Amino acid sequence: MKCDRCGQPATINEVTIRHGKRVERHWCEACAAASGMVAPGGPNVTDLLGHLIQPPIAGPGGVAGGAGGAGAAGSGSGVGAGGAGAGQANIQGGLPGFPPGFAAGMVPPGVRGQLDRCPRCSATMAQLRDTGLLGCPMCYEAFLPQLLPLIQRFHEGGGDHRGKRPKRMMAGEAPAPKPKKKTKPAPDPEMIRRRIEQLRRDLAEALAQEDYRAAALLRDALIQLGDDQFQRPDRDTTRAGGEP
Amino acid sequence: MTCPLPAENIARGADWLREGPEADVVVSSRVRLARNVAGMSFPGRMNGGESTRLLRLSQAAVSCLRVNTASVGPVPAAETDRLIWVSIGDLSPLDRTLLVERHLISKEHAKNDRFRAACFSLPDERLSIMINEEDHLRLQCVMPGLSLSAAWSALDDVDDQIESRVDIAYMPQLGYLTACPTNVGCAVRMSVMLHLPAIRLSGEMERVKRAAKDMNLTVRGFYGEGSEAAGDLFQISNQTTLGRSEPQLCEQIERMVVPQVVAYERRMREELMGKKRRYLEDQVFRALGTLRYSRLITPEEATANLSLARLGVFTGMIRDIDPQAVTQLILLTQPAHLQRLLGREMDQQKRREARADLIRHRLDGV
Repeated sequence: MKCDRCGQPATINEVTIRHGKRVERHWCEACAAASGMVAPGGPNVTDLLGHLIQPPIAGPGGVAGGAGGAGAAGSGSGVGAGGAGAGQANIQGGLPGFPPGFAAGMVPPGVRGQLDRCPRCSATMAQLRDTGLLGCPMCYEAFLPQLLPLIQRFHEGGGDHRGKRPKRMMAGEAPAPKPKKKTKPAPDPEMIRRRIEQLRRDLAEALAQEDYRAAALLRDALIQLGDDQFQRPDRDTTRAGGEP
Repeated sequence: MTCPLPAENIARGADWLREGPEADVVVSSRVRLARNVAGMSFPGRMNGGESTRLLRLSQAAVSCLRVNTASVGPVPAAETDRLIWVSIGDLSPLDRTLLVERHLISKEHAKNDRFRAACFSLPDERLSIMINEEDHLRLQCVMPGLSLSAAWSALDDVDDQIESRVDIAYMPQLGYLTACPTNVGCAVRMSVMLHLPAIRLSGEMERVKRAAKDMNLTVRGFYGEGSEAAGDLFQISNQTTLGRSEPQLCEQIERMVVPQVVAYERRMREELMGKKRRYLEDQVFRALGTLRYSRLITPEEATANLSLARLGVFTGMIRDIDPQAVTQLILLTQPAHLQRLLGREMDQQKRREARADLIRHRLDGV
């Protein structure tokens, strides 16, 4: 089979379902890359998005470009993002100009699909169209109404997720590292000693940078390695939810 | 030049190329999961601080892993001192290619200089994790032969351990959230690598591809997306990830689709052996002659001839060669492997010489 564009041997078959009709195209690797296709063998994501996404239109009170504009939440319409700086704000402390729900990683349903930019990372739907990639997990909540038709089309109307679920749900829950029994010493004590030293340095660095999530994991790793600086806690006070 | 992998790993080839169930047709089974940490930008949009934080978080989570050795295979427990950590930015172009050839990292990950890209692997390389690729974590388990459910079981266990320590981005409706919206849901790629020389020689490959496509599966080459089917090696994998569970996807590929393709390949081999025996023998022994006597050989020529030699071994036409030696040579004759095996960088001409020498030595050494 030959590439539809250049006639070289085709290695990728692209199948697009448009208006219920199956359109098949054949690509060589170079032409597929040149076309910006993200998922060879499947529909062209950026192409699909081109049909699905309308150019951003500034609504009443909205900021189409979003740069530097402090958006106002409330009515659910015309919400602008506070620019890249606000988009990178500390998620735990809340995002300036957005309701408390944003802080917990939830975009209120009332404003879903009406945002020009993701309130967390400032990514836009236009960027998704260009790159085929979203900016952060919260983009899904911000752009859910626009994304759903694309996702359903790609997955041939697969419906909702039916697979595995994380045992701990993500939103608002602190990491709950489970204290582990001390590991058996590995065969080489010298390697273990060096590893403990490295982990201690990482832990100090994480604490200095107030990265407590990593610090908790590093502490667990040190406990597992039998680091005598750490006693096994009787009760894990950092646990927010129960283990299923 | 310090090699990122133990020398013995390279010398013996890849563990997942050893003989497994249905070895005459099925080479290996692989499951890959995409996972992202909640509250962090995806790698394509990360700043330096975030990517450092992700790397640290990943290292800490991996340090806590306890691998279920029963499901992964004969990996000694608690060998934390032998885990393989690789920072992509520290690697030479040769070693990046080496890891791509071994399927430990993707081609895209090998080019990743912008972020703190890394790779972690167990000593036998069956379980590996790419960090800061398109998604934060891409977990992979590869096993020899038709072992998809075993690979899924092992990876599921590792995934559970990571999820118990790190908040993973997830929505009930869409499942696991990924940088590319087409991967949401299970965010899993299950693939089986098949050696299909008889189907190819019979001109039936397009039919297999069409049948797979009709079942929402894709057929790709040896190195996945966009790669040529070098050496008649094809990967069949799921395309859609939403609306079906992981065990359902696994069942479809392992129990419904692959056995049919395996049966079809065997039937084609029998037909060729019956109706076109002289043609098949000619193909196989010409290939063997080239492998045994050539003094200069390109990777493409080597792979094509090794594929035919493998067919000859499994159909009983060639009896004096270990099938393992042939299969591993498909990997060992790749450019980066060849240079690492011999411990020096070589130009194209020298590589052709070295490749021919290596093949002769390994085939005649058995």
